[in-house]
Amino acid sequence: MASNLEDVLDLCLDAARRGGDLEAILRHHADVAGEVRPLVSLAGELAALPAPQPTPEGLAKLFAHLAAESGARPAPARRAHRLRRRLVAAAATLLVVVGGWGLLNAAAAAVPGDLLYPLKRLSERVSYALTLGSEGRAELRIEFADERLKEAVRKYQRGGGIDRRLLAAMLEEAVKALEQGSRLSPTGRDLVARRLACSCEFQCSVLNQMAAQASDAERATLEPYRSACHARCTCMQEATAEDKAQADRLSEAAERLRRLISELREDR
Amino acid sequence: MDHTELVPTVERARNGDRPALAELCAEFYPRVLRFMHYRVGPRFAEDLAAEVFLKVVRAIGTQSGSFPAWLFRIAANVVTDHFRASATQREASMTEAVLESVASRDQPAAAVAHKLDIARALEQLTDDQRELVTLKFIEGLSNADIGEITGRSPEAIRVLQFRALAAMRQFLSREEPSDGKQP
Repeated sequence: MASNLEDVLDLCLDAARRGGDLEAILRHHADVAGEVRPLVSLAGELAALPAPQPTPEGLAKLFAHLAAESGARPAPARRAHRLRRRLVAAAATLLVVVGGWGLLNAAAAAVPGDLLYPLKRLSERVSYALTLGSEGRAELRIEFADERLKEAVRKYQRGGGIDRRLLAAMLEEAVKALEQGSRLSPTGRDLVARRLACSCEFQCSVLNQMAAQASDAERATLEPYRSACHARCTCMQEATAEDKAQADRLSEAAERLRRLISELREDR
Repeated sequence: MDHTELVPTVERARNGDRPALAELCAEFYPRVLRFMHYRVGPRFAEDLAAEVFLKVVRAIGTQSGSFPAWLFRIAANVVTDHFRASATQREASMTEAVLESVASRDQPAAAVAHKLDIARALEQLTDDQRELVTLKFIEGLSNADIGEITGRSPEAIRVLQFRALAAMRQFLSREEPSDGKQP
């Protein structure tokens, strides 16, 4: 019996999508294989068409819609109190912003749990995607690491306790910066290493200040991250020392830091 | 965000949890933007994508079933309204969309040219065919989700996808430079 072209194509597309055995289906329907094969290949090419990059203006419009609508819609009663606080915060935010870029700036101060926080992370992803080259990306990773620390501090100051996920994210961003840095030319590597060394010192100093204000229990939570940060400082000092094998040292530093992070994950 | 994370996030967003709703918007914005990019072209894509999320925020409390299907049904309706409102913009240029996307990337000329050919072939399709191709092959939605979005039966989807791909293939074969070989 002759195979139905539409059905065989659908079977093949499904197999291609799931990573199934496309050739087995085509062998089974050899009478239409010649016609179906190029169509499946074309479907794959369609999937590979380039994705557009969101622009700051487009994101600003999206943020404006979301923030404006957040203040307009009534909230379910059981969450009313918490939501009201958030909406008041969102409204206060809106008061101090003018236009789309203002909203982006407002999102910049957000911490996990805030309305604009996911949008802040989205704009970080967009910035990263729009940044070409390992040097720029390493620099961004360092900024993201510092930003995670600032969020942890803001959250702590608001009485939200020590957020271990933010501190772990800070360390992970630093690993990614090291990985990007190890792909650079000697001059680029040196710049990234020095920038990371400064960032480490800043992070150590902030964590020390947090520890000085913290309760015993909070200090115990903070301690592994503080130790990891100090260890990283040592790594970075070694990596920035004049040495022809700096790339190796950066990779080594990344590996040591990765081990520290996985130990922290296990502790959690 | 995989399925196991998506379901509870949608549930929280439905119950009025704004951070969960913002998380969904952040997660799906790039996909809706891409859909718009290939349906209406880059000129209107961001405006229409923002409009989709405005509708999402307003209607999330009534959401049910598959979230991607629900979201892209809204997106498809926004496109329909857009075309209805301005018939002259119906000929949105896919070539323009692809050119804009690849302009800043370091790609070999032949690869860019091939992508442009595919975009031109996409332009030749009927609106129904182009919608299906965008949903299925560019967005990667399942036939079940596409059925929910477009109201078509599985059989109708299979027929439409075959006709769309065959029409594109035919266009591309005509466009290939003549080298004496069969397409």
